[in-house]
Parts: sequence; C-alpha cells; structure tokens
Amino acid sequence: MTALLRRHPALVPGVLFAAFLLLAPVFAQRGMLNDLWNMAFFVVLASAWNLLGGFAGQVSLGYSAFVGIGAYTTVLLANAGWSPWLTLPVGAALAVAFSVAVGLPTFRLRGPYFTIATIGVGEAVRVIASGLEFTGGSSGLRMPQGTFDFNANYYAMVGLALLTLALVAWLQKHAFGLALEAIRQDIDAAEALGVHSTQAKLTAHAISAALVAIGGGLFATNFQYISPGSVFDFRLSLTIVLMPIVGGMATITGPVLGALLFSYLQIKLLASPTLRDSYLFIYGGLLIVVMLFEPKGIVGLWERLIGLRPRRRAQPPVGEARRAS
Amino acid sequence: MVRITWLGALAVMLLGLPVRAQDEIRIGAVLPITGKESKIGGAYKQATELAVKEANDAGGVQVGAKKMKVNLALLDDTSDTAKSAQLVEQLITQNKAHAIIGGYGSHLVQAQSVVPDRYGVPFLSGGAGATAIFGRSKWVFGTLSPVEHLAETQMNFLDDLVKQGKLKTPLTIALLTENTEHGNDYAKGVNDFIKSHPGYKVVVQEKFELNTTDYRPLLQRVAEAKADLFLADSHLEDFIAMHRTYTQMGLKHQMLTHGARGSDAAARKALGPATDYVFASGWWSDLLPYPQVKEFKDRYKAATGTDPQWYNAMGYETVRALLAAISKAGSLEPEKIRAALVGLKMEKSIVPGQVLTFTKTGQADLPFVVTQNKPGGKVDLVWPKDAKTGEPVAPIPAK
Repeated sequence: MTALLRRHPALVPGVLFAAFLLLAPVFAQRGMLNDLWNMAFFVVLASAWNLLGGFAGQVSLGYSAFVGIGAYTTVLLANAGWSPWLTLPVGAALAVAFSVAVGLPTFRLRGPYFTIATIGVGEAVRVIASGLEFTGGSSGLRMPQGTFDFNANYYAMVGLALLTLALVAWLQKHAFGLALEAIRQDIDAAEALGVHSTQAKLTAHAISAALVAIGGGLFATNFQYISPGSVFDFRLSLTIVLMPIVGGMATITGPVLGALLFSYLQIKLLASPTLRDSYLFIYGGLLIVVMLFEPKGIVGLWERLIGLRPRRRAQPPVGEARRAS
Repeated sequence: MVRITWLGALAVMLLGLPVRAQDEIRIGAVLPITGKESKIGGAYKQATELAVKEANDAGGVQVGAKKMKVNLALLDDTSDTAKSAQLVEQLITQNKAHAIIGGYGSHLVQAQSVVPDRYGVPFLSGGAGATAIFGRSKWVFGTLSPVEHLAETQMNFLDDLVKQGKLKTPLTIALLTENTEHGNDYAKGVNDFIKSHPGYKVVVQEKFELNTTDYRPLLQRVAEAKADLFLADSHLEDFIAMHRTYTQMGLKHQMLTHGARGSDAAARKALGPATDYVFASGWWSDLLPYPQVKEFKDRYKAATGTDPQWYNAMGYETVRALLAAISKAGSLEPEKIRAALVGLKMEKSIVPGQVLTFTKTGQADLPFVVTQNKPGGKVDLVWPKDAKTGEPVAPIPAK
C-alpha cells in the first residue's frame, strides 16, 4: 500500500478521505453521517454515469430509470419477504437487462439525438411506474418494517462508492477504457481501428446501470419509502449529469468533486431559510461558468492552476468539432 | 488570549455547531414552498408562520413553570418526496427539533412520515388525509380527517338531495381519482357507500396521474359514459386543468365535485363562472357558524390581507394543536409531547365540531363540511344542514 502511494502520490487525499468515510460512524453524529451518506450516493451516481457519459461521450439523461429500477426491485421484493441485501443483485440484473434493451436501439443514434431519446425513455418509465397498481401508483411504496439499519446501509453505500471509483479507475487503464475514449474522440476512427463501438457502449451502459441500480436499492432501504416522483424524477437524471460536468468529465476525480460540491450545496443551502431557493440557481450559474470558461470542470481548473495545462480557449469536444467541419 | 478566542470561534464555525438557546421550543417544518405543490404549500407556510408569531407575541408557550418562545425552522422540499424526508431528518438530527410539523400533500407526508419513528420525535401533519400514513408509527399524527370519510360525506349529501326530490335515482356516476393513496381512499369511500345504497352505479371509473397535462382522453371516456354525476378527487392544479378541459368540451352533469376542491380562490380566479355550482367537501370552511372561526378569519385577514382558505386554517390549527400538546406535556421530552398529543382534546377549536382530538391511529376524525359555489363568486355552506348558509342547488342549471 505504502509503495503504491509512493508511486501514485495523487492517491493520498483519496485514501485519506476513504479512511475518514469508513471511520466516520465512530466519531460523527447522525446528522453528519446522513450528509456523508448523501455524498457517497451522489458519488456512485456521478461516477457510474461518467463511465458512459464521460469516457464514451454518450450523454444520457435517463439514468434515474436505473435508480428507480433498483429502488422498486428492493421495495417490491422486500415486501415479498426477501432480505433487502439479496434484492440488490436482482435490481442490478434487471437494470443491466433494461440498459441493453434501451441501448440497442438508442446507441444507433448519435449526439443530441441519443440524449433526446434517453429523456424519452426515462420519462416513459416514470409514467408507467405511476400508472401501475403494483408499484403503488403516484403514491409509491414503503419498505416493510424492521428493514432499516442505518450503519449497515452507510457502510454499504460508502463501500459501493469506493468500489465504483476503483472499478472505473481500473477500466480506464485497460483496453476497454481506451476503447471508450476512442469512441468519445472519434467514433468512426475508433471503429476503423477495430473497436466494436456498439458492444463497448452497451457494456459501459450495463456496468454503470448495475452500479446505479444497487445505489437505488440502498436509497430505498435508507429512506424506507419511494415514489415515481422521487426515484424516476427527471431532475435526478439532470443532477446525475451535472455533477460530472461541473467536476470534470472523463476523469476519476471530476465526478467525485462534482458530487461533493452538489451534495454540499444541496444540504447547506436547502437548510438555509435565506438561501434555500437559490441552490439550483447557484449550481446553474456554476454550470454556465464551467461551460464557458473551463469545459474540463473543476479538475481542469485545478490542472491549470498548478500549471499542468496552459490556458486555452474553450473548445468543443473533438467529435463535435469533427461533425461541425 | 484573543488568538485562543478566535481559534475557538473558528473551530465552532468549522464544526458547524449551532448555538441553541435552552429555553425555546424548536419546531421544524418542511413544506412544498416551491415546485408543483407550491400554491397550497405557500399557504401552509403563511399559516404556520402566523400561528408561531401569535404564540410568540403572546409571550411564548407555557411549558411547566417557564414561558418559552417558539423557534420555527421552516424548510422547502421543492415538492420532492426524497428531499422532503431528507429535510425532516436534517431538522431532527442537526436542528435538534423537539417536534416536526409535517408538509402538505399525502405523497410528500408519506415520505416524511417514516423519519420520526427512527428518532422518536413527535410529528404532526396538517396537510395529509390518506389513511395509509397513519397507524404505522406511534409518533405520527395528523389533523386532516380520512379522505374516505370526505367521500362518504359527499355521498350522504347527494343522497339527501335525492330525499329532497332535487335529484332522482337511479343515478350513474363517473368516478375519476388521482393515482395516489388519497385518490384510492376517495374511490373506496364512494364505492363503499354505493354497496349499501342500490340507487347509485359507477359507470366509468378511471385513475389519472398527478399533474397530468392533457385530460381530453380521460374526459372523452367520461363523455361517452353519459353519467349523471361527476365525482373526481384532484389536487388544485389538476382540478384547474381538468375542469378547464371539461368546460371546453362542453360536458354537463347533474352534480359535479373535485373532492376537496371547488371554492378555492385560485381556481375561481382561473376558471371564473365555470366553477359555479361545483360542490366540495372540506376539512374547514370560513362559513362555519362558530365565534372562534369569525375571530380567526378577521385575525388572519388583518395579518395577511387575504381570506383564509381551508388549508390556511388547517395549517394554523395544526401548529396550535402541537403547541397545546407541548404546553399540556409541560416538558419538551418527546415521549411526554407524544402522550399529550394522544390525549389532546382541544376545545373551541376552529375545526368542524369545535373539538380537535386524535384517534388511535393518530389521525383526527372530524365531520366534513360541504360547500357549493354560487354565481358571482359566492359560496354557501350546504352541509351539515344545521349550519347551512344557503340552499344547495341541484341539479346544476343549464346555462
């Protein structure tokens, strides 16, 4: 471990933060633990989305569907007598199946057309869930009593966040991650080089869907109540996309920073009587600033500040530039 | 020394430890002040703040030997269920609230209501009537009577119109309800009544999603069913949207209701004469013939410049009930406040029946009133009979 940290000093803050998260239940009060749970949840969502949206450049606005699939699977099976823990892999498997079913037709589309299609998919799932009897309609469903254990759920969510980060970092360094990056930069060139783009996108979609669905299952267990308005909400899909954009897409730390910033803003500003209505405004403003001045997000800004990257004019992604020309 | 003080202050700031007064009642409230439920959520906020202000202006609430001021922390859940529950948790864990005032809307209160049980904190809602919320946790209370009984009251009112000869059985019903616990309870109330009253028959029963944008397909099915009575259970936004389409399609029924909606000022402003003769059952009416209702109405208008609607009144009375329970408990200990709520009997209340109590499930079960809109923006209380301010008009006259 020490040798690893010596070779990669950039890992030190991450390891320290992970240790802080894992030890927090020993010294932190419940309020703070709730905030940390929330941050870990957002890290899972943002980092998992980043695999497809950041590395492969496929901006999906339908990820709340996977949160919902995981959450509803957990609640429905728990009400049928299952242990909530056993429901998590089932939710992940269903999300993978759904991601493939959605991905096969939508990955034929490129750029904004793909994004628009994913909005439609997310909304369709929400409307269907609202109309079905067994999902509790618009009222939603409650978890059965005796299924709430905050400490276990906290460690599970923090563990999932760390697993997600480790997995994404590992994939990034391997041929699969390079294939996704090639797809983002120029899909035609990537295919010419032998990358099976549809297969790579479907795999990234499936992996991220599984991680998000497990997060959704833990969300349901923690809140003990879900409704289409909470887990299939378009605003949730939008939030999932905003975090990596603000933090820095196609990086490991970017979505984490975006998630930390977003959850902090949400927690602190919503609790402030004077600023409670302005958190979306502040986040929106931040997004505009990032898009205009630093498309690589907070990570890009940091790299520029420490001199790793010279200041350049904001440029569109390579694929976009190629299409424009 | 100065440096140590600064360091201490800085440490407190960094740790985010709020400084709390010892002799105050910390009440937390989470309401939908923005988002889809904001119209009524905002009204609840106004009423909640007024009730707290009145208590503080009177010197505070007597708790044992001390008079304590009320410190209200009111947060906006943006009409989002997940956020709603999170904020209740935040008020309990970080603000150390002694009790929570629940939000508005059965789906939002449903989400909130799982939290108080975790921490053992009393929770009193003034904005949810769905029965599924109550009876699961000993900490959850509500001042709105069951929606099922609202439907039953409306059916009794219609049945009385039949007895008066204003309507004639057999009567067919178009029953539309929102796809929520609230809507399910309403449909159950109507269907249970019909089981024991053979003169009525539901010929079309449909559910709709909250905040539906296009009601034409649904209302087309209603038109084809040619029912005599139109019974719907809707939130304010849905009532306005659905009734606008209903009017544009030229639909007519002998009687029409949207459950608790009808006399709302926002709807009458938006729809004008199209809301004439709509009848509604409510948890409160400013036409109730009690002196305390008149006093409340005058006080409310003087403080806010607007006439109170049922949601203002129930929001206000919910805070008063919680403060009455805290005073009765003589303590800020959660268990004592809860026990006081269980045994609360608030006399001279502004609610129908004048006495506010809670049943074993924690939900109030009070009589409902029925109002009917009349031309010129007038509203009459038409049920119960001994309190009516005008005669019910039935069937709705053709214009």
